[in-house]
Amino acid sequence: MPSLPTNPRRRALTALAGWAAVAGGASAQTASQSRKGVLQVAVAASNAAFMTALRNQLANNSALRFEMAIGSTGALYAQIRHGAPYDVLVAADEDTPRRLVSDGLAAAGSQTRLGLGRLVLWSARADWVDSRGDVLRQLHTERLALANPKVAPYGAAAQQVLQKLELATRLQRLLVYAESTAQAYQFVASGNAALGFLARSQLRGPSAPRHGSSWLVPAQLHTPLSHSALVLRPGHTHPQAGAFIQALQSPMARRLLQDFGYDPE
Amino acid sequence: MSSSWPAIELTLRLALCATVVLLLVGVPLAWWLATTRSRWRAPVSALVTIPLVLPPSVLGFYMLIALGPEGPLGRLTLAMGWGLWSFSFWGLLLGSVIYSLPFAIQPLQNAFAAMGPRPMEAAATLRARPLDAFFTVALPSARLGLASAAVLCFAHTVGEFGVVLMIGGNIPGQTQVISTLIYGHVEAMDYSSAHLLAAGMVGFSFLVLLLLSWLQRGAPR
Repeated sequence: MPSLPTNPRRRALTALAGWAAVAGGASAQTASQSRKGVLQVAVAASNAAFMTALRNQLANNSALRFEMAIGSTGALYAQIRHGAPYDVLVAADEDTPRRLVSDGLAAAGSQTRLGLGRLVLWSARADWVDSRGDVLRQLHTERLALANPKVAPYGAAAQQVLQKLELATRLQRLLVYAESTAQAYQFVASGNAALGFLARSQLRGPSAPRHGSSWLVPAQLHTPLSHSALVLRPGHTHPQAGAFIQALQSPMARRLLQDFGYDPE
Repeated sequence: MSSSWPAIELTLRLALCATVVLLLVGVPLAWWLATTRSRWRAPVSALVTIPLVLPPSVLGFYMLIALGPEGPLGRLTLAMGWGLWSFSFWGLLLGSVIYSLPFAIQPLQNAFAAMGPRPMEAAATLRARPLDAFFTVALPSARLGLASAAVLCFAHTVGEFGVVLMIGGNIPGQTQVISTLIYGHVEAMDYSSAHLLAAGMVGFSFLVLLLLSWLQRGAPR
């Protein structure tokens, strides 16, 4: 699924109106009344598969409900900076939550780590990508997809890998940039790009492809992809934000994270 | 700003090529739509107008599948030895032509319809062959419609965003056009670069609409 930028933006407008009311000295009571809606969770595209599974689990076992807005971590950050009404952010890095705290848009205490995401090189073609990634040295005309390194941590990690392997210059003309890991997946799954750098979690779960070939990129080839979540300013008045963070720390969530290929830190 | 030049150059080249293709495809199609009594007229007319109301994401999604190695167009381009057209200029051109087709058809069809059957009948009584009559009578009298179609197609292709975003792959110098470059700047919070290009687009659009209203004021009513 491509990320859907229009929806969060439209919501951003309504949020601006809401925030203006709060800033204008409305009492805490009215603020919490306006926050009775469903919990809005901004989800980095690399976490979408895990979060969908978590939502299904919670729907069966608890009263916790939430809506997801999916995009690259960087794009979500830009939206949050401009007042998007997300209650919680589930990011693909640690830096973005840290920056939001120093921007005054989130409280430091709520940040929780999910684990280390893993980068994979994947092709929809079977028996092609080898277990050491040597296929990268044999590319001539095939397109190699990665998420935009400026906004997506997995894109930045992929770029570091290519630099470490001294392939960045040689492969430059074959690179195709996606908005997020979700679009990178879409490029590769449709065969338009022969292969691409994705999150391992995208290849797990019930809707993941069973075909293709992949290389699990050694974690030491890039800076760690420390996924973390935190409560944003609108979430401070939402009654379910705390419960959501607790749910992320629960044994059930830990098990799911493991199933989706996140490494423990 | 200097890093924006490849995107500006590509955008103009794409818009120019799309306009030429659209006029070549649009003139015969619009003529047929304006003159035919076939029962296929309504369905064909609806079909070529679809891109006007379709979300670009629908077009982009189908094009991504169609252009892929398993899709009908992908199979064709591979069989012809042209490689895959996604993430290439040709893919963007094809997407732009489909996306802007209604903007070529509408003004042309209106111009041909406004002319009525009389001039062509007169030309026929003077023993002009139909094709001759078309080029010497119909086309010159539809020149304002032709100019409007060209301006609209060019401008609409410059303003294209969704289709390019979905099949372009944002490759600098190859598939990164002004609109997707602005989007990239905004996503990366590089607002000063975004502002320059965005202001340029506002100015460009204003000039295009000014030109169009001049063209239409010259039209015989």
